Amino acid sequence: MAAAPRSFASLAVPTAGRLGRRAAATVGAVVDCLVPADAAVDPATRAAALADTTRFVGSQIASLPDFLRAPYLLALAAFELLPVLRWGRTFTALDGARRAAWLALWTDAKIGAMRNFVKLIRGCALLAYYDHPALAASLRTPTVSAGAGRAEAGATDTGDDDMPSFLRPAAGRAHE
Amino acid sequence: MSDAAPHVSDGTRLTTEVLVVGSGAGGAATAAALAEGGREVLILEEGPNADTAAIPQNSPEAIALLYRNGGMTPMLGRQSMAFVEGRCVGGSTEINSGFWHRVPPDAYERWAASALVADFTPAIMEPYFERLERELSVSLLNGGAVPKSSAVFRAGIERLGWRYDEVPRCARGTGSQFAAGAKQSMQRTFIPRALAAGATLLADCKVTRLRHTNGTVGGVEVVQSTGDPAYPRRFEVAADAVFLACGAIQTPAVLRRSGITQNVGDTLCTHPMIKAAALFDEDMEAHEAALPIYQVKEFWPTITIGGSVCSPGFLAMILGDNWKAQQQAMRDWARMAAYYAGTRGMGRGSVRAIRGLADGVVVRYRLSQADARNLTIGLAHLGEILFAAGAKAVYPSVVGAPVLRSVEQCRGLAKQPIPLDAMSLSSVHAFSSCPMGENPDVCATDSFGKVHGFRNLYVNDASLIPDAPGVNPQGTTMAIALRNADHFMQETGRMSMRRASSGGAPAPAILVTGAPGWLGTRLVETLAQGTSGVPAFAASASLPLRCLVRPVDDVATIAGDTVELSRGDLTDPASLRELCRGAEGATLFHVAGLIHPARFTRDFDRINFEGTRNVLLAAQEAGVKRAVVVSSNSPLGGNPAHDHVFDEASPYNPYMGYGRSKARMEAFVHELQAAGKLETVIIRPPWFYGPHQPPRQTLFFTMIKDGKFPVLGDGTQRRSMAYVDNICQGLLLAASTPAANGETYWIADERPYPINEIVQTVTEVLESFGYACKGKQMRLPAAVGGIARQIDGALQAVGLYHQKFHVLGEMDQSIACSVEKAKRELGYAPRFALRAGMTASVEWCLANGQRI
Repeated sequence: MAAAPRSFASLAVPTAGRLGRRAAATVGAVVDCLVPADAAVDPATRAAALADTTRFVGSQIASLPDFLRAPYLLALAAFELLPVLRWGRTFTALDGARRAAWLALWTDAKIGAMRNFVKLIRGCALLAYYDHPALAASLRTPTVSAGAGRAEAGATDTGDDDMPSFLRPAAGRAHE
Repeated sequence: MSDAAPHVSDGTRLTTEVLVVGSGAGGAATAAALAEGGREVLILEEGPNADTAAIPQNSPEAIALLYRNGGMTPMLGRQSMAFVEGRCVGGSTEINSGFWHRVPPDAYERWAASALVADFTPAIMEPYFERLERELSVSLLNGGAVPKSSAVFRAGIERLGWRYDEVPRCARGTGSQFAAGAKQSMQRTFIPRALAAGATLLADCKVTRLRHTNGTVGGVEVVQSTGDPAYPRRFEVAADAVFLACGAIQTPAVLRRSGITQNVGDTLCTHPMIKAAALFDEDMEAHEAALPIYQVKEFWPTITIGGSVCSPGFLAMILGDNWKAQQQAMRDWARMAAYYAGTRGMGRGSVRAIRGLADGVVVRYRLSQADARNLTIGLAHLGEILFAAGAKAVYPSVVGAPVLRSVEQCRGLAKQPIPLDAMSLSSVHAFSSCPMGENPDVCATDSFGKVHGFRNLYVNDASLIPDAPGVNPQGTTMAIALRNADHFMQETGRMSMRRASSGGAPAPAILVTGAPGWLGTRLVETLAQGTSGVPAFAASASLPLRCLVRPVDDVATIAGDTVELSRGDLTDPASLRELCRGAEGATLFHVAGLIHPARFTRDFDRINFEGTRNVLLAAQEAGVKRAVVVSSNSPLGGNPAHDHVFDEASPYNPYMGYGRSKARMEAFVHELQAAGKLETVIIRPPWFYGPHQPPRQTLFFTMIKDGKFPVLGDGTQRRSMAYVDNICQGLLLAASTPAANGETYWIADERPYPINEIVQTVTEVLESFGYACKGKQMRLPAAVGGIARQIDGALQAVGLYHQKFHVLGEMDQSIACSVEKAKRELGYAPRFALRAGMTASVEWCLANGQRI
């Protein structure tokens, strides 16, 4: 029986699809941008988890079918280089706020391919980061706030008035 | 389970009786059933042979190692979906929840009506389900601890008064169903059983293409991963029968990459699914017992609602659709759980292989408006259940959606479908890409998985399921696989060909090629029964006889106590050496040949010339004494006049590609004979008739009965015909007459028959059996034959073959020969003439279910 990887950190990335240094740096910067700092997680643990998460995302991109991997890597290069036109710097050279703004631009883009580009990295990154063994201890003693739900989410929640039309409560459009 | 990870050397050609491609639910069940039934089985699995019990389920390492494309196989469409399937030994059974469902009752009738699936009823299938449920320990929790996320879910359903079920799982033990290794996946059940019964498993082996001609798969091309993509190993596997069980995406991809496209990959179905996370007041212990156990049946089969995997990572993915707004909710992940709403997809998808890319498979699925509406309604109902269960907030996996905080908000959802492009969808079920059944408009295989138009190619996985069943298809796939494996065992005879050809068989006195065919089968029958009437073969029934056979489905017709079967192919010299092993001093009857290729004329030379060369060289090497080689009238073409007859001195004038290939073959036979190492005799029979006739000859009867046989010109052109028993007599005389060495003989009925006489005789014979025949036939100008010949010639000039043009092109010609030399030198005395021979032919058709 082939030996199975026992720890997340030992994940093998297929050689053929292994990301180049620049692409890996771009993925790492996106991952860092996506995962919020958490007081419950010490910086060293977070750094280790982010590094493994970046490797995992790289392996996932490498696992894409051939006909999707090449365009995806092209999109990754475009994501890295296009900020030069706006800020004179590549994505990895931007500060945190500008990285977040550039990522948000792609996340909410009208072009589906741009949204899907972010969605793939985001999905893989969130899965790998939050399921990382090193974070288990921190995450299993979560901060549970009283009145959880609306109170915490309130600051970032979307009120009914801001809802997309297809999700507004039925009362106002019962006859639509 | 084998601990070894065997590798195959580059360029190797492996042989097996049955090749099973894929080791998931369909493949493993097939392999175990056939291996335990005594067949020699080789299993090829594309993914690694990893011990899945040692890898946490749904973890990132499991996703990277065990899932195809890292779990990111896209189903492209108006809204793309992520399709998740396993790619490892055991297939998707290693990564799924192990849920078990039988075929829903309504599906039996639906599939019988739409796909015309035969022999597929509850009475036939239920015993398979019962057997599988015993063997896979399918069970309920039976008092085991219910996971918290499932308990609150059940409470919500009960408060609403909706119907629900606990879903049985393939798992051992009570209360410990969620322990590592408890799930009875294929790695724990059918694969070890197959290996214990003698099957061989090769992991990391991807089948890239099937090699096939004339409806027979001769072998498959395989690439084995070595860990370094720059240096894969490439080898071939030749098999008597090939079962594709690579799943609903890869099975049609392999078929289409191999040029097999009829109803393949055109009707993919799936169960689209949308997820939501819910926040409760109490700890959900979601990470402790991630597997859900209840499903809401209130809206089934249209909508199914249940629990989902809910580790922190999966919860974050659900929130990820609105990550900026909802990431703070992850602080409360311990009080959250994940659920899904799924629908029985009404849309259809397709699977297409991209030429030149081994993993280039494009999967498309067009979600219907009904799918969008059902998913929206399903999400709304899910929200209602969760709020009834005490949820404080529900986070749907919908881009731009707010957090839902009340049951009213949920009900509001149902009023208007959520736009497809806002939904984050996924699917873990795919099927129907090669539907089984007798409906030629939609089905890729017959009712038992045999690919239409093929003799030894089968599909045996979820691809066969005719449409979306509305339940997890694992049980259905396995039950169908076992049923089809049973049918294969019955269809292909009592005895494994491999086992028949091994172990202590005496050295053969007679070798026969082409035995599964028309003349070859009759020759073997004559020899095995000792009914030839040729004195030298009076005791032939006791002579050890070895036959070269390719497809398995004709084996029963040539079985006999003294008959040994040797699997192989004229294009495979190694298998021909095996045929001739120990045959020193024996007689070879080389009957195999190709008259009507499926499409390309190049096959004429490959079989008739190169194949003959291969078998004669093998025979010479083994010390075979004499080879009697069956040729044709075609090396000489048509007679120059209707009253002319060919004799053995007539000059060569090959007719089209077939004639040229037989002329080259005869030249090689003479060359070999001249070298003095092998005695040879060439027999030229013209148009055969008699028992074991193929459908094309039965069609000849039908056309005459219906008055549709084309008589070109005045019908006085003559054709020599050869009743198969007359040919057998000639073959045996040629083998036993010492002076025949190096000679060529025409073997046919006593005299040629005018076309009018042939038609009239067949008409009278058919009428004597009670058939009402139209007296008049279709009369056409003789020029029609010339036109057909021109078209046939033009097509063959560019390498293409069309049987109807070819046959019609011969119909205005005389092809008549004299058998005087055979009578004089061999003592040939044809016992059958036209009327007696045609009568015996019709009797055989009636006795063997051939419809005239």
